[in-house]
Formats: sequence, structure tokens, C-alpha cells
Amino acid sequence: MDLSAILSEHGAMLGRIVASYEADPALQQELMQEVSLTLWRALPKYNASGSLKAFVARVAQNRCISHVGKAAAAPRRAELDDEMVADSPHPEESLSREQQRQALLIAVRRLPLPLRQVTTLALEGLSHRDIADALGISENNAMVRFSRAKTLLRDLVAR
Amino acid sequence: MDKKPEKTDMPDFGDLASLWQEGPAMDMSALARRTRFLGWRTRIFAAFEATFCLAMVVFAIFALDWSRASHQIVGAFCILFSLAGAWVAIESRRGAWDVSAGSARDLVALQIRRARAGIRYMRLNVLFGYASLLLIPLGYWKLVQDLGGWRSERMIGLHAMFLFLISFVIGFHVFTRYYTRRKQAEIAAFSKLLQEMSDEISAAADETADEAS
Repeated sequence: MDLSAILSEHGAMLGRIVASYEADPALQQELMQEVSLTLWRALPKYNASGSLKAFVARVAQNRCISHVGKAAAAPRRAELDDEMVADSPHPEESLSREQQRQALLIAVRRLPLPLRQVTTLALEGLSHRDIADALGISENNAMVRFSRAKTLLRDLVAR
Repeated sequence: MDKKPEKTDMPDFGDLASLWQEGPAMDMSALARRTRFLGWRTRIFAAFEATFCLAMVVFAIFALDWSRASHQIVGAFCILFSLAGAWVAIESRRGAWDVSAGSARDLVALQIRRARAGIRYMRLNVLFGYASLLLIPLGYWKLVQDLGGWRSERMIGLHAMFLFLISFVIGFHVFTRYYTRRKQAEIAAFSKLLQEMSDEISAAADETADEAS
């Protein structure tokens, strides 16, 4: 299986998952690199009968959790910049949209880890079954977590 | 197809998902190239370390005069030391090229085990470092015989080399203390994370049981 093709298809999702775990842009790049490397090593274990998207999401989630554990033990190397704005041909519209996206990203980052896992995958459009597969939990557990995550996310976005 | 996450409780979740999926683009082909490079670099480093150690064994076998007692002792020490080094180079990376695609809790537990293994590896290297200091009296024994005395001009460079070896081993020991503290902090953070995940799973299981009853 070709890593380049997988990254082309699911790279954007990986980037968003990484961004939900790491706010520092420089560390995001490093983490994205590590996720890709982990994915490359994990590809031989992929069972073609399962969802590739769920598999890729699982590998990314797991690698990001490792990062969270290490980041908690290490000092920050840079100040976090949660107010970054992208360049765009329609500045006002894009600025508003980008600010909303940043607000959502910040809210997702504030969720407790188990709820954040479920939320990022649900936002990527994965079904409860795929979320359960990706996280190694039961479908019921995924539904309960998603319900709790939505309630908390609503509060965080509203702030 | 399985059911998608509900949108009824929070009508704007679909909008949030659309918003979420507008993330910035990345250069994926460059990322793929870099990923392959890093993977092969890890393998090359491991192969280099093991090969270097085995080359030291070969060097010891062919470069020493095995008919002399001092050479026999230095040679035997070098061979055992290098073989142990080759074993550590491979053993310390056992499993490092694999990846756990299992549950997040398993992975966190694996990270804790790896951090502990990292500490063990460094401590083992410190022991190897101090063991290598045994080369100093052995080396002097052999070299004094070969070069004809402590004050020979050719011994000056060797005095400097042994001094550097002692400084390096002590410096490495100091660094290992820093590394160990950092890894222990990492283990504490992962343990906390593991506890948080276990608590969340218990809470979700309780809620599921409540809903069922």
C-alpha cells in the first residue's frame, strides 16, 4: 500500500487530528511527521476488510496520545498562538470563517482526552462503529462518549 | 452503512463538521518522502552501531598478539565488551520499528514500558561506560610493556585519550541523570493519562448501564 496515496487521501484529516492535540505550529509539523512515520510502519498491519479511514484515524489518534503524554512532561518550546489567520482572496468572509474554525479547534482542544478522541473522529464524519473501531472501544461506549462530548463542546463553543 | 453521529441533539453539529473539515492543506508528497527517509535512517543507525561493535571484535582478534598474557586479557575484554554492545544495539531497539495499532490505553501502557526501557538502556550504558574504564589499567599494562615505560613520548597521547575517556563516562553519567528525570516525568504524565482514560471508560460504562436499566 502506497503511503503517498494514503496521505493524499487522508492527509487533511490527519492534519486536523494533529491540530486538535497540539496548538504550537512548529510542534504540529513535528507531530504530523511522527504520525506519518507511525502510519508507514503500521500499514503492513492493515486488514483490507476494515475501513482504511478508521485505521488511519486510529493510528493518528494513538500517536497523538503519545505526544500528549510526552508534551505534558516537557516544557513548551514556544508560546501558543490560537489566533492564527490564513491568507485568503476574500479577507472578511474568510476571516470570520477562520475565526469560527479556530474557536471550534480551541473548544475541541479543551475537551478531556477521551471525549476529544471521539469528537475529532465524529467531526471527520466517522460512524459510531468506525469510531469504536478506531479507538478500540465498544460502539455503546462510543455513543455515550459522543453524547457527553457534544454537551461539553456546546458549552465550550458558546463561551 | 452504520449510523452516523446524531445531529438532532445539537443541530449545528453538521455545520461544525463542515467548519472542522476546512483545515489547512499540507504538502503530502514531501511529508511521505521525509517519512521514508526517517524510517530508513533509524534502520541504518541500528545497523551501523551493531556493525561497528562486530568490527571491534574482528579488530581485536586480528590486531592483538594472542601469545602474550596482556594482549589476551585486553583482547578478551574487548571482544566481550563489543559483543555486549552489539547485543544492546539490537535489543534496545526490539519492537521500536513496530507500532501498536490497538487501543489508546494499550498504547499509553506501551509508552510507559518504552520509557522504562529507555531508562534501563541508559543505565546499562552508564555501567558499560564504567566497565570501559577497566581498559585503562589493562591498557597501561599492555602499553607500558610495548612502549617501554610511563614516560615514553608516545604515551602522552594515550594519557590524554584515557583522560578524555574518564571525562566522557562521567559526563554521560551526569546526562543520564537528567534523561532519567525527564523520562520519569514522562512516565508520571502517561500514568495520569492512563488513569484519566480508565476513569472515563468506567464513567461511560456506568452511564450505559444506567440507560439499560
